Amino acid sequence: VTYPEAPVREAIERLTAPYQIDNTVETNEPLLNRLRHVWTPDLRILDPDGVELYRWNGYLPPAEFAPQLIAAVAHARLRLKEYEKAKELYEEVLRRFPTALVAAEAQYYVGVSAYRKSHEAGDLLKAWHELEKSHPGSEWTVKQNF
Amino acid sequence: MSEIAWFGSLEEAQRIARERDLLVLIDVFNPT
Repeated sequence: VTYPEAPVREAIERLTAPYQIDNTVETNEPLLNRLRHVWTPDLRILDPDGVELYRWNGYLPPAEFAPQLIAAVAHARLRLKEYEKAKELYEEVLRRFPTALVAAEAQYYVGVSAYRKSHEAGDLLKAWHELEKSHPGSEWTVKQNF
Repeated sequence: MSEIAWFGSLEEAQRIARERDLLVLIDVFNPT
């Protein structure tokens, strides 16, 4: 019920090359073992060499899946040190899905990706001050303390 | 509404990801 929704399909096809694995098919066992698969839904983001960059478990409705997927790709781009691409994707989450569960995390990482690119503390603090205002009760607001 | 065009193998998804500057999405599911 999640995948046919237009925002979900659009995000998957724009940002990823998608592959599905049925965990009840015996011939899939070697790959499932390689992935250390435990529980479905099990979503992974890999680089083209097969290195896992992000993962999450559990069902999400379309309104949450699309922003989670965009944030997941942003995390992957950040780990690949593609800071500008990462920041643009986090900002897309905030612009299109400001009330999503993943929005506070995206706001946190807007600051991280901006700082990693510029090395300017002001870029980090600007994003994190915004996080304090927009998501005062979030775990990500706790995590920005140092 | 239409369905996602899932690739037929992980290797194919990785090849397309490399060619098009994409990342690979894996969805492990249980149909039951």
